[in-house]
Amino acid sequence: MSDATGPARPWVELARDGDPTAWRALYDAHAGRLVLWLRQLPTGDPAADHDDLAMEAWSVAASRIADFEGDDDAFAGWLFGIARNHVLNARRKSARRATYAMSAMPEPTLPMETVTGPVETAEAVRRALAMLPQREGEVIACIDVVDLDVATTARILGISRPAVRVARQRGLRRLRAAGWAV
Amino acid sequence: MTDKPNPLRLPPPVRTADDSLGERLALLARASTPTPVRRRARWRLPLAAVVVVAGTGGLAYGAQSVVRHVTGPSTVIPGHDLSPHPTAPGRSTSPAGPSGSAGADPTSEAAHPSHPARPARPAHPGHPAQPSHPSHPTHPAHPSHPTHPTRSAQPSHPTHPAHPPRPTPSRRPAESAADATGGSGQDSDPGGHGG
Repeated sequence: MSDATGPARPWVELARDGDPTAWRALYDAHAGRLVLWLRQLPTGDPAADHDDLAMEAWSVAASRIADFEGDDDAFAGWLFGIARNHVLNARRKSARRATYAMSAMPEPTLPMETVTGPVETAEAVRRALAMLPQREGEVIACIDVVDLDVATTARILGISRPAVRVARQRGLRRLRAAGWAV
Repeated sequence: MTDKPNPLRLPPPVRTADDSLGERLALLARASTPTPVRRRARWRLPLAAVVVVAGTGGLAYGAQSVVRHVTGPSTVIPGHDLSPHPTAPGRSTSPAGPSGSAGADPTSEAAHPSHPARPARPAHPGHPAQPSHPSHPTHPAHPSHPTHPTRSAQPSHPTHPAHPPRPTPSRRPAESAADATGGSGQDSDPGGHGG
């Protein structure tokens, strides 16, 4: 099945055959980054749990693994794309059921001087990305926050690689204007 | 990427899978794996649709051909005599002649042996002086009898199987009566303008 040097076959192929060990390996490799990435995406619903969204994405990925024709490197983009669809659905659902005026209350970007710990840093990054346009915020969340490459980001967002680079540059320029040393 | 630390970079939370989660995801993957039978159904469905369409069409065509063979053509021949006493085929469509005394036609009697020959009754008792039928001054609205379905179906007029259409339908009935009687036709003026 697998040894210390890695599996004889790609994890995705073993997972497609229903190997529990392969699924555990894929989960350990991508689950943490998926939750971190989901935390940066605004859902519009304060009650939405990012761990629940991530688990829904994993369930869909397990049930659709037979239709996936990529390797281990492409699995992250495919999984994050499923999670993004869940986030968009949650955002539309919250927009239909919105009974509070969240749009009338702009979220100010915290200056870096006020950040004192990891929790405050994560909250400051989330608010900074929320101030950006949607595409620029998603691109920066993928590349700069979660440390994904350009190809995976393009596959997740469904855009080309030049579009990913352009959106990233524009988003970083806005963050620099807001006081971030990026 | 540059070497300087990115302030946007956040450490990912630790998420490890236990055995139950791995088993559950593996069960989902095995349950959703398409079987060879399901793959074969991708081309079986269009084939079944083609077979159903062809079979239905062939069955409908066969049933229609059988019905057509049993009942025969149902088209109506224009000008065919639809009277309850059918006459000879050549007799039904041929004109009766200007005299209109079809009761004396021997072919008509031969075609109806159950009806004995009766003397030729006057066709229009109110106008004994009129020897010919084509004028019909008392029925100006019915220039020809064969086109009248009720009169052609009357069994009391077996001697009038067919009347030829009027040679000039646009002529007035008074003029036709005058032509038939040879007079001036002023006496039969329905409008009373003859004085």
